[in-house]
Amino acid sequence: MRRLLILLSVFALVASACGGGDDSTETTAGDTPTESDSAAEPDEETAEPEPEPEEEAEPEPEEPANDNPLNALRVPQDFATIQDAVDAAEPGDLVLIDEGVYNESVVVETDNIVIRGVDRQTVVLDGEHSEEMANGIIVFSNGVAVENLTVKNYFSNGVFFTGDYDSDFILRGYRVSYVNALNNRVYGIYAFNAEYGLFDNTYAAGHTDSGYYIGQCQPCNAVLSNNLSEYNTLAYSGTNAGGDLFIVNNEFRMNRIGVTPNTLNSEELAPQRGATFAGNWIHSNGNPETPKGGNTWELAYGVGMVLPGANNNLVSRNLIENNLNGGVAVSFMPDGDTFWLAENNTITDNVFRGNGIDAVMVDQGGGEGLGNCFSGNTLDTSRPADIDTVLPCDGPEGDLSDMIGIDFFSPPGADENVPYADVASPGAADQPSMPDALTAPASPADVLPEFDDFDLDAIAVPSGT
Amino acid sequence: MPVLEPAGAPTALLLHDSRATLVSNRKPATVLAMRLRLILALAALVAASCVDDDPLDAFVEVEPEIVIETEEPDTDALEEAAADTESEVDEAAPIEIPDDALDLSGMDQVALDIQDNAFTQRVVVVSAGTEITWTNQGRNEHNVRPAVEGAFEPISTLDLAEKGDSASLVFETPGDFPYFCSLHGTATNGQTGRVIVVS
Repeated sequence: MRRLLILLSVFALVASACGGGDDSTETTAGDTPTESDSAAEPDEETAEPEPEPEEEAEPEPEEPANDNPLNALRVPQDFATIQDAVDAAEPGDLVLIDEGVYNESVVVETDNIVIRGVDRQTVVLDGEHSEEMANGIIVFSNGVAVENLTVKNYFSNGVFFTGDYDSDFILRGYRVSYVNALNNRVYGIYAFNAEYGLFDNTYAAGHTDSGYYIGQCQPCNAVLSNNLSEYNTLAYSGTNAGGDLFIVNNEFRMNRIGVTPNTLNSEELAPQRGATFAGNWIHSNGNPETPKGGNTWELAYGVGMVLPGANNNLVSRNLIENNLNGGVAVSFMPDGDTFWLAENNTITDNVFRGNGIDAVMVDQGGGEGLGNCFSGNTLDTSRPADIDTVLPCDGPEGDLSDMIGIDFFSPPGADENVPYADVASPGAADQPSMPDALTAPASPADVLPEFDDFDLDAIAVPSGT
Repeated sequence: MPVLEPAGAPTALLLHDSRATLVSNRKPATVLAMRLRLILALAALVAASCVDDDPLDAFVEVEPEIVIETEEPDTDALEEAAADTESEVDEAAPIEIPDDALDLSGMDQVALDIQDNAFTQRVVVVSAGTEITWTNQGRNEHNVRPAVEGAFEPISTLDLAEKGDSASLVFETPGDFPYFCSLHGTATNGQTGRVIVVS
């Protein structure tokens, strides 16, 4: 099995099946004796000598059930706040949060801990839109995982992993699983200057920038898989982020704009390069019932996937359909005095249907393709026309005279600007909780796999159902 | 790129304490109002002239003029504060200046940049009385808050909401002033900076 699949499998196993198949709440962890052990070996210091076992003998009183089989730091049973529990946690610990609404902004500065809710829908961190609670959970440490809860209404971001820009500290190891990020003002789930990460089985809606954001990493060594992003300004944004970055098998729907790997001067490591987008269902973007995040992105309103100033990316085996103004567009990125060119992107074997226009290669000034190529795609409309033929991946360029300019990025927009706090999140309630949340031991995100291989053949075009 | 709506009238920003004065780029100034209008009008003309041809229109930013405000000094209070400050400075341990500090002492005004998500010149040394102006060069919003509460008047997110926004502080008194952006850091972690003021 290739290493990416191994990684995904490992994470999935860890997230869902570490309970070892025993879902009894009396299952114990660590050095706490199991129920059967307790029955066989009573405490020597306190137990009376046992009579000979007789069938008629009255059963011994059962030992009290272990109400903390995971040896977790429980909130609120053991700690009044999540922050108190996080501060008390040591590497390897599990912070387990009971049902309730927690008006906290949690800061994590301990490596290799897991923060988990007992239920994705009813464990809610709520920032109440207060600037004094900027981030739901901000993580400065390696190997931290956040699981099975909802984080909403934060002034900046829902869950935020960040390295330290100036101290050369790159955060290593992060994971977010089975989390809903709703109506946070900037990003839903966000990793900056961080490597070796996974977002899986999460949901993001109602953000004025992007539901998911990966920024400033090269190589990122990260995977986004099985996530759903809707009703955001952008479904996914990846500024200056690439290098073993795999965005696979996600659904990006009903956003203002879909997926945007991009280059900007505002972060280090420009230009963006080297990400893979495969097996995603990118559809129905161009939704006016979203926040209007700003003029920059409004230029690409209603486009399913836009690659402004993006380089060396692979876009393959995605189903890209019913996006209002465009399916895929490759373009330069204007940023101040800089025009970041998009070069050497490979768009292959995607299925396009029902988009305003299926595929666009913008003229970046020289009337050439700049190494961007299209092959094996199923599509009806493109500029230049017949794009698979005139910009092939395995042959010379053809007639590109009808390439269109940046004007493409002034498609019919929408005047609507729904305040982020009021944006709907229709898919949130349907998101499942993490399996075995009450029994699975803590599994910090401290696995640092290599990504030197990727099996594209294992990725299928989504069916769209 | 979050959109921040202006939150009504600018807040009072003057002279939080004897050590630093916040100078907002959003505060209206009667004396300089006409100059400001002229600058904005010229900037608007420049922006308008680009509309037809320049795809970068969306990125044109008009940087408002910095307005320095003063207030009538309360002589007694200032003398008292100065005496207190001298006493504090005399008793304080000497400030250790890190090797990577940027020495900008001797300048009346200093310009610092903010990126996503960092204060570009992280540690600077300035002379007492220097006006420091932070400009947001990033795409995200930022703020400047003292790591020690009350050490100086914070610069709010509204003042550094968008690329090109700037705001200033005057550091009057020698001392060590660590600070941070509360959106992307804490007093000790993430997006942090430090101003060391020397006499």
